[in-house]
Amino acid sequence: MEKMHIQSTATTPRIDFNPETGEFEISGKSLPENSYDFFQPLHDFVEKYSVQPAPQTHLIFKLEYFNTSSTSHFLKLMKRLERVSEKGSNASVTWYYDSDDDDMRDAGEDFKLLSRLPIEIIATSFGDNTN
Amino acid sequence: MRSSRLVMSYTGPLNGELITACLQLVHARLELSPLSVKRKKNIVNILIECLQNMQYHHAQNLLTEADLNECCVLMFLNKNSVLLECGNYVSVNQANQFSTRLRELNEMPAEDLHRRYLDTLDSGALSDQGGAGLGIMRMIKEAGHPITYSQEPVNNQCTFFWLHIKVPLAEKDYAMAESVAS
Repeated sequence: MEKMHIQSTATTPRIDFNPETGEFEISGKSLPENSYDFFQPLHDFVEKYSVQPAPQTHLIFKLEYFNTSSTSHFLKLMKRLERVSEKGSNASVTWYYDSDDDDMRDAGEDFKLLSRLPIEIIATSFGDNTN
Repeated sequence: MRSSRLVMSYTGPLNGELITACLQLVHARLELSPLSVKRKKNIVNILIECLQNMQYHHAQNLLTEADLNECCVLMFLNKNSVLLECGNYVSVNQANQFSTRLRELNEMPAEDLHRRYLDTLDSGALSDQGGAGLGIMRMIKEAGHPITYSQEPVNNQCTFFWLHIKVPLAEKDYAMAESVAS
């Protein structure tokens, strides 16, 4: 299975999904004009990956901004990875947030309430490295 | 005049590129101010939801005038708050639905609003625009203040719908925020 890489834009995040290592990273700004069109390929990728997942699957978020329609898709990705866990892959999530951004931290806490995956919430300093 | 300063204004249609331009302008203006990062983020997060809400919900195909897709966005700095005024043409039905939902959500205690947000997110239900109404809840939460609205009827089918969003500023934020509009 090929890796998925999507370069970031002013409104869409950078996507780096590696099916060999199980590292799936979403970073930057997630404000897609049409969230379905942007995220459906990611859902399809994870669905295909889940047939034969890596021993470890790690979904990483490093976001500066996101809109609420992106939130729905983030949760959907996590729920798909819950099924990957059920197939024996050790799946987890790391939610990075800028240390000054309480709202981003709170969003991570919300996902902890809604997903069965272990979710680690880590404060960091993004600087200019989110895109 | 000193009590209310216009920080940003835009009138026109909205698409991805124009929304990005509006956000970049506001971000750049706010970066010049010593407002706390939290307040800057609040304001930008609210603006994101407002602009995309207007982009998705407008009175398409109701009238023939080209300006039906026009919206209006104004951001003011007042003594103790930032005021965001967002308006666009919507159908009367859209306006009624939106105002009913706003009234309901405004009256909710913060905990109940948060629970409603989580339940809606967890349900996986998405509107045609992909939002499921989460945007309104987020705006109210981010503002920390009920969102008011008003309408200017155009005809039997169409109205210009305004959202009036107030983001309270703490005294410390205000003393530093004067520099935004100067």
